[in-house]
Parts: sequence; structure tokens; C-alpha cells
Amino acid sequence: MAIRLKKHKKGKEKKGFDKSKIKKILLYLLVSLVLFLTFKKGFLMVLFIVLTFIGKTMRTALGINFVMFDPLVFFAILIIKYMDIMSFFIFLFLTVFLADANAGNLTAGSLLNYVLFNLCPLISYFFLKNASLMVFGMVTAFLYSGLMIPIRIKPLAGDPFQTTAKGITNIIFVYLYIIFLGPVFELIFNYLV
Amino acid sequence: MKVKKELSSVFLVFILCTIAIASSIFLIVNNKIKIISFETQFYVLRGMIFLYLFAIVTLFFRLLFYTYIIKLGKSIRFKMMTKVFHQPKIEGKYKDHYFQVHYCSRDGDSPSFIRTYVKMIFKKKMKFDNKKLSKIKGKHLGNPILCVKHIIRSDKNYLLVKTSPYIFEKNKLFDMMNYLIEISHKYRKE
Repeated sequence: MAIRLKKHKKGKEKKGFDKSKIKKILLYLLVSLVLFLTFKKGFLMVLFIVLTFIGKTMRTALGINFVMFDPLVFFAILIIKYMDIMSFFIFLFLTVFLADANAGNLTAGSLLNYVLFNLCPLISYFFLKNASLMVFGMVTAFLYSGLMIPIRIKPLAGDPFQTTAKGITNIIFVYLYIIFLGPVFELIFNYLV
Repeated sequence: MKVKKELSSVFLVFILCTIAIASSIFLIVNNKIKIISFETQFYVLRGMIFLYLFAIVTLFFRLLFYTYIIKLGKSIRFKMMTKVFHQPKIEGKYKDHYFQVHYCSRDGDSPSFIRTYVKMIFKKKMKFDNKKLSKIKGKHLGNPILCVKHIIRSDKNYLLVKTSPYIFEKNKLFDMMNYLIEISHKYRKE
């Protein structure tokens, strides 16, 4: 029933078990193992970047871009609190700026997101460096949503419903991630970093 | 068949996750794991249960949405073209023309809000006055028209109308398709 012009037939002819996929998976596993054994910070960064991309892809695939359930803010908070500021900048550059630029979505809205993702955890870091993860994370989430909603609605003329939904769901999911996954990651950081 | 395969693999993963979580609860409650402290075990288990419930709720709503679109498609004799975890597309024939309805949500400049793309698909090469098409905006029978475009790529050739938000009513979908037929006659270049 697919009504498309038949031009790319050759690609569909491949069937059966693909050995190259297994090779790729084995290579990724080997790289992860080497990273884990030699450079633990790098391993965690790669893990966080992959998980963030999975979250972003899920959001788009499910058609619910106005629900910010991807753990980007949560991971940014964890990295700045338990690792270092340099790793935090690299993480955001790769997951926000470079990802948007690569997808051709580098607009005023995405640039604002990038600035706010950088700014809000930094403010929390300078004022609440020794606070608990819950206080640190919630202040960051409230700051981000509190700044993002008015700026995106007024000067950038974004959709009010979507922007508000993004802001509120961001706070809710950061809270849930901190409550349920925060202690696990704290243990991991204490063990690895 | 592909959908059934996809669904059965999802259910298999869920059964395995359920068994894993149930056995972890059993082991932790009966204090069988002594290498790791009880506190650590508790935190890990809590995190696992959270992810498990989150996945179940997401999947449940996804399946609900997917089956609703399938039913809607059946009611207008359209067929589902995508898998469960992709943005749903239904395709079929209406008034001797091929149409596709795509329920989508994309990131970017402004299109990230939920939208319905109604596409009139052509098998032959067509030419349209793109300048005039780009000027079409406003409302048609209550449906907001965000833009009208003629898309030509290597494997695609269709006239597209973007509306917002999702359209679930049969009559509104037919309105949009009639509107596309009208546009295709009006703005076609010979």
C-alpha cells in the first residue's frame, strides 16, 4: 500500500542476520570497557550523552516534544555537582549545541536553551555548591523553567501552551529523577569519580 | 506482521524486566545479597522500579494512541503505515487520489507543537505554483492552515498541508482532503 516512487529498491533486498551489526556492538562494548578501565569520567560522559540522546529521540518518536522527560537537565546537574565545570560545558556543547546544529535546528529558541542550560546550573553551582542534590537540582530546574517560559513566549513568540508544558514537565521530571535515580548516581559518582 | 513482531518483542522485554524486578525484591527482602549494603540495594531497586513504571505508563499511552489512529484509519478505509514507536501515518485512497495523514511533532524553530500533516501523493510528476502556495495561510472550515507546500524528493512527490493540533474527526480530515484536491486543481502548472 506504500504509495511512494520506487527508486530505492536495492536497499530493501538485504535480509537475514546482519553480521556487521554484531561487530559494531562488540566494538562499542570494547570501547566502553577500555574507557571504563582507563578514563572513568569519560565513560560517564559517554553514558550520559547516549542516555540523553535516547531520551530526546524517544520524545520526538512518541510525538510528545512538549513533555521534557529527557534527562538532560538532570545529567547537567549531576556533572556540574559531582564532576567539573569543563566536563559540564563539553556535555552541553555536544548534547545541545552540536546536536541542534547537526540536525539543522539551530534557531533563536535552541540558542536560548543552550544559554539557559549553561547559565542555570552555573548560578546554582556558585551559590549552592555544598547544598544537597535535591536543593541544587530543584533550584536549577525552577531557574531554567522560570526564565525559559517568559522569554520563549514573549520575545521569541513561541506557543504558550507548549512552552508552559515544557517548563512544568521539566520541573516534574527533574524532581522525579532526583528522588528515584539521584541516590544511585551519587553512589556511582562516589565509587567512580 | 512487523507490528506484531515489534509488540511481541516489547512484551517479552517487559516480562523479563518484571521477572528481574520481582526476583530482586525477593532477594532484597530476604536479605540474600550480602556483598552490597542494604541501603544501596534499596536505592538501586527503587530506581529500577521507577524506570519500569515510567516505561509501562509511556508504553500504555503510546499503544492507546496507536490503536486509536488504527481505528480512525479503518473508519475511513486508510491503512496504518508506521510501527508502534514511530509517529503514526495512515494512508489510503479518497476520491481517486492517494492521501497520507501524518500525526507528527518535531523540534526546531516553531514546529515542535503537535501537528497533522495531510499529504496528497502523486505518482506522476506534477508542477505547482510554489509562490502562490506559500501565500496560503489562515483557516479553512475552522482548521488552521499553517502552510501548503509541494514536496519533491527522490522518492517523494506530494502536496502537503500542515495543520495544528492533531485532527481526529473524520469530517475534518475529509475537509482537509477536499481542500487539497481543490488546491491541486487551482494551483497546478501545466
